[in-house]
Amino acid sequence: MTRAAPFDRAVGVLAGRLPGLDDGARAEVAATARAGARAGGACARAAELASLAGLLLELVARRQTHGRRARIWLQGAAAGLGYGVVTTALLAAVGSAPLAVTLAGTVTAVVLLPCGALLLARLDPRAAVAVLVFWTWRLALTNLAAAGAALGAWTSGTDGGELLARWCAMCTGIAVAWHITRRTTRRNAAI
Amino acid sequence: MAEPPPLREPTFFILAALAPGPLHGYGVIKAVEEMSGGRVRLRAGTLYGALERLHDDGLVEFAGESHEGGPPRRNYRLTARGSDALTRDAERLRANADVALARLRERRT
Repeated sequence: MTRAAPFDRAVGVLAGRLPGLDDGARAEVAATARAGARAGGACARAAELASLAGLLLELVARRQTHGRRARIWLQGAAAGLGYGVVTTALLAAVGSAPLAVTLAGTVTAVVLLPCGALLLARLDPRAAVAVLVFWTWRLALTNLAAAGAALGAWTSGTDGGELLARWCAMCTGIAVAWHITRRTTRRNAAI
Repeated sequence: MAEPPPLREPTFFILAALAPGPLHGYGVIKAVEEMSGGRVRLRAGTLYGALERLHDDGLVEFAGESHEGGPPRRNYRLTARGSDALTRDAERLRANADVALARLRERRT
């Protein structure tokens, strides 16, 4: 077995799953990826596989939204709300667990996974919409009502600094998600 | 009617690669690399993502298959609409470059 065999198999698997293409087009994509990696080393092979995974994600998104902004927003918002409900239920379920477990779960669900989704938004703009809706919903649910009290307490020098910092971080996150949403939905409409 | 937005750089180079005649995917990649002096290196996923968009927008079309000793390769060619889009963008870039160069000449004198 040659070193390239696993790469060839992975290319075949990814190309075989590309939606909306016939077998001839899939074979053409796979042949081009193999030709592109031939001259390079492991980095070139990894880059070709990453680009094929990106193409898979992009084509799935395009088939489901037809590139229409309204569909991107609707489907992204539904995904964001769904994720919000599931996350809230899961975090409530582990509420009695040790603090470290709760904290790790919260950071993963509220920060790390949404940040990962924002990185993928270039390929699927619905991910950016989902994060925007999820973070806005979470801010409204958990922090919005307390923000005024925290601000008052913080300005009077008593307490509330931590809540205010969290509130500012969430607002910053929402602004970033909004910016990425605008950029990716515009990019999606461009050629 | 609103002016169409400028083409993104990879799209511009893909259309330029297809301007002389039909090419298969890897041929487009090599042509783009050569035209850009190695600066733009397209991967298969990026290329076919762009070709899918261009095909959906009617700027490129399939042009049959070719056999070069290996498996059959699918060729793509520019449509009249694609040729117009490339011409329009090339003229826009040239106009921008002319303006910038004229301004730079003014600065030196």
